[in-house]
Amino acid sequence: MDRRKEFERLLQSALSGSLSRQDALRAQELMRADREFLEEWVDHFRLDSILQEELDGAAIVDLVDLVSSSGGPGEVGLRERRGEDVRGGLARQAARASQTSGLKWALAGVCVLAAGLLLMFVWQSPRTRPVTKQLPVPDETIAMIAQTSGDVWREDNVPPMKLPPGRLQLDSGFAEIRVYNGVTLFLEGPVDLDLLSLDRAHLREGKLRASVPDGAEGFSVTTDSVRLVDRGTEFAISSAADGVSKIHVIDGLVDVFPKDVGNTSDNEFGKSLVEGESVEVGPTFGLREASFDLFGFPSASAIDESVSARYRRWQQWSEEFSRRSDLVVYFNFEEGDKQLLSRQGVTNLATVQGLEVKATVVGCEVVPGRWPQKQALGFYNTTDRIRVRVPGRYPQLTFACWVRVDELRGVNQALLLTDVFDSWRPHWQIARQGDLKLGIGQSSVKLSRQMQTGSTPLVSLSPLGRWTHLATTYDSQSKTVRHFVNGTQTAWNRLPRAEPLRIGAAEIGNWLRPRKTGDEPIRNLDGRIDEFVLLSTALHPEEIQEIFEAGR
Amino acid sequence: MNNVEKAKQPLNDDELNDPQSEVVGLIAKHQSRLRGFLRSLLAGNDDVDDLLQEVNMVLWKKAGDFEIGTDFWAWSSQVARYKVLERMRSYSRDRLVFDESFVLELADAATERSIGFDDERSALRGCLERLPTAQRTLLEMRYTQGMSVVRIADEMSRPAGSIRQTLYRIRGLLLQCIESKMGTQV
Repeated sequence: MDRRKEFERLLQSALSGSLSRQDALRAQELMRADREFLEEWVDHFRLDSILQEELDGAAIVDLVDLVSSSGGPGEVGLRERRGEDVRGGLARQAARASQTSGLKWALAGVCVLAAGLLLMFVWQSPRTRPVTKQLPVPDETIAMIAQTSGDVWREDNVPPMKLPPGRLQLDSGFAEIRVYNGVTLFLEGPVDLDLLSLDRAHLREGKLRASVPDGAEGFSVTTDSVRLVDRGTEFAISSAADGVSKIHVIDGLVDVFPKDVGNTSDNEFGKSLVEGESVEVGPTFGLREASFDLFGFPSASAIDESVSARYRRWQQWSEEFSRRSDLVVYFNFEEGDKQLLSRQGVTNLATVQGLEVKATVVGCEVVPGRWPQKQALGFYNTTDRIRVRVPGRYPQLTFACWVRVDELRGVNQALLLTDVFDSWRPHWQIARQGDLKLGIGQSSVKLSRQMQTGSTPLVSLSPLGRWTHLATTYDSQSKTVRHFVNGTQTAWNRLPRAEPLRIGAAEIGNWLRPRKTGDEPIRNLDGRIDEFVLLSTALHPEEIQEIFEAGR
Repeated sequence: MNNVEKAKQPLNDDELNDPQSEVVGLIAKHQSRLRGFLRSLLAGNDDVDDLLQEVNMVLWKKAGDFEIGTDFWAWSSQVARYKVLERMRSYSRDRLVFDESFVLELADAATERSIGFDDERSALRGCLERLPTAQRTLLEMRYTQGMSVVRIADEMSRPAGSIRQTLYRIRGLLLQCIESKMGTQV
């Protein structure tokens, strides 16, 4: 009989739990003679068990039942006695934890484990589900961040570009918020604001300026002492810790309703204010007219000025940076227009080493970068890519870029991927789980797997749609890989082995791999890049922090 | 065998600390792989659920020995291998299936074959999506409804051998697909 057919029959019986001892010995014989059979054996058993759990979904629940019931009255027999040993250990442990002893605690321990496992299962399953397979969730966002400048958020709680209702705490810097109904809120830190709905915001503390276009009338801002309803206008409002709120109408008309002022007999329906008028409302004095100084209130021009200043500061830094002797590749995409970019390619600003680095843009919209004045390339289409060829071997490397990731699709998204992934070629990307990852090619898939370094998920560090600085350093001497997000080290790894890396033909923002199997998910970056750097040294954490500070 | 040695040692106080909660998550995540591991070593000839349970207990107790960030699969499959040998030694001769030395060979291969496959489940999901409906239906009959090959054959009026072969082929395709996904992950 054909050995393969025979083996397959034996394996299939084994999988359905009906393999006789005779057959088992025959299977053993076949597997000993042929390593391929042995590997198939363990692979099919593993997959069979995973399929059972995946398609049946009951495995963990069974497990919980088992754990709970294993604390019940013990049966006799060798195996059961061993089981009791395990439970005994558990009991000792539980006893130590509680300074008590006894069977009750053993049971308690078992239940804790059961509950823990159940909890982990419940908690893990949605997370491991591929992002793309989720049902579309209703869009709960009500506003977007149109522009920021030098923004620092309390406890690093950086809001995403698309904002659902929630609290915004800007410690310093500027933010321009565009509510979907067209209202624009200008914020300058420190300000503490609850964005409640399309037509309402609550100012806990600080100052804001709002511009309400035609059609969005009725937008209201509340503080602890007042409710302001807009009638089509532009106004400024502040709320101080002592409960005093000030309102100034820059243009148009607003209605003001003091809160909790006992009997508001003189005007139960509040007071209407017109252009140029100001009031203050406080717990001790109610509502009264006041002088008002618009100075210090955020405005469009203040944000624009701040943005320009930062852009200019970065330009100066960039010019200086391009003279670094360890620069291998430096793109900032500032040259000319789109035509120039696509016809002549991106200019490598790293000139000191005089390397022949060629870069060609395929597709890619030219889109705004970190600042409206700055150019970036978008990689939103599957065709979009920068082809690049980097000669040389590098004992040390730093990869760095400013990137705005707009969507995580549950697939790998390219930063820099070499065309081929053979020995000592790097793959720098945002992995399907959303972490920054450096993989290094090895002679076999198995060896390559040991050479991956991932970080914590990026969204936990920098929300989608926000410009983020990513950097990864590689040092073959110390065999270390370090990841940095917004200037802060977020992960490091010591590799089992390390040699100089080579890049050769590669792509930024996409991957053109030899398509042998044709089943590779598309890897274009769902986002934009406005600065890309490769250095032949492993930068120190402080240097990466500096790059981040200069470009934020 | 280092972890096996460790598994024999008594508990320390620091095992009561935090790594446990993390390890509980890892245990849950590795259940089906561990189950497959145990079944392959015992030739599918035994109910492995209580054995898996014993493995879980050891893993949980020894959570403190596990260094977060190192390969949980390598560690837990060591523990599972030890548990299989322990059980085999308690069998009477006529219940033995594989030779002990062969079980060790299998264990090595099983550990090695899925090292780094932490994301195998999600890779599998992607691969399942792309299966033709007929194949997917067959898998559901077998795994979701838990039908035996003979019953499926009966229901589909096809010879059991051909169902068996088809299932085998589908698993082969899935393994290939997973391997390609895991391989290009890096």
